[in-house]
Amino acid sequence: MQQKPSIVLPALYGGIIIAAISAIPGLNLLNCLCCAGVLLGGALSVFFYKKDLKPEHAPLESGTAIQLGALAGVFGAIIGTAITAAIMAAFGNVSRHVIASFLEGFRDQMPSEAFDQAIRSLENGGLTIVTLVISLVIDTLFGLLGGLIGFAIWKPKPGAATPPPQVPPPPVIQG
Amino acid sequence: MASASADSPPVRVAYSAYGLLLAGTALWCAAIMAAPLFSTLDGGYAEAAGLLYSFFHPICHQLDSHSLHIGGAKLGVCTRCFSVYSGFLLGLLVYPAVRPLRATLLPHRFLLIGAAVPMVLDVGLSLLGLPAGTQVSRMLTGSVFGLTAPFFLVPAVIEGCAQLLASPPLITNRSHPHEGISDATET
Repeated sequence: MQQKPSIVLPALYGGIIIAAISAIPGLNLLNCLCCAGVLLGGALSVFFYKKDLKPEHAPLESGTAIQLGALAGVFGAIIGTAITAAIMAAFGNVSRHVIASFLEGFRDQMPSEAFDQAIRSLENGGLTIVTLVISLVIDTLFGLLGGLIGFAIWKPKPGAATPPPQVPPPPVIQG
Repeated sequence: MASASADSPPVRVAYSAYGLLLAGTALWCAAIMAAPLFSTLDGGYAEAAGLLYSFFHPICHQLDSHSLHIGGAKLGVCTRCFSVYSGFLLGLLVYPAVRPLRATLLPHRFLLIGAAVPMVLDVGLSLLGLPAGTQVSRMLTGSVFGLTAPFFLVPAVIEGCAQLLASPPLITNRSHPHEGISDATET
């Protein structure tokens, strides 16, 4: 049976990317497009895993991509919540100001009640256990999908044959 | 048309994984549509609507002007996101008619990237303030990506589930360390 490299480290790298995109104010707007940041982190965890693959390892499989993406999502949710908590503790609710200034650009396109409602919803943007649980569910789900998209992009080519296992040369008997 | 080969995933796994994916996606789309329906109902449904809007808030901006409405209330996600999800559901429904469920060969990656390009361009141009993003363009570009995605995700999900179910258990009996592995490979 061919060995596989550990999935923890590539998933952690993907998770850090998810966390950075989710927690950094301004950059987190990327997640407004169907969690594009989480999908990207899940896909990149597959890329990092594939980069670590050596010829003696088993080729990348979709089952591994599912595990990588889901684990990256779990890491992303935990690290992202921790970074958000740290940013809120240090600077207050920065995201509120960034998103509010983004919404200002749409003020003339939105009904005034809807605009006020959107701004009010930002005021309630506290950090709770519920936030972490929702992040865990959503990031794991979308990270998994990202892992599968990564597999679709970086899958081994159908014609690429698996290299034969390396057999050590027989000992040379002298005399 | 891609056909199933001898090393394709087992039929039971293929149908179960496809069924789960279809049911999950249908539930997801139903939850998106339930949010405005609940908010228009009397009684304790307003809390349920608020919970659904809060659930979808981290994954979508939920801008009123960028959303479709039911009974005067916006959907749980914006038009573009809803088009991606409903396109994905439609793609899942037509998938078995186009490809056998046990076929594991994925289409070329450029098809997926090509399907995402119009949507990314639509987002990029509207962020730059150019007159690109209309409700129609959001629906069209989102649906194209959503319809294409199942042709990459379904084979990968089915093959991945088959591999995960066939992989050796993480905990093996210490006195018979290879028991789990040999059992798993036989199935």
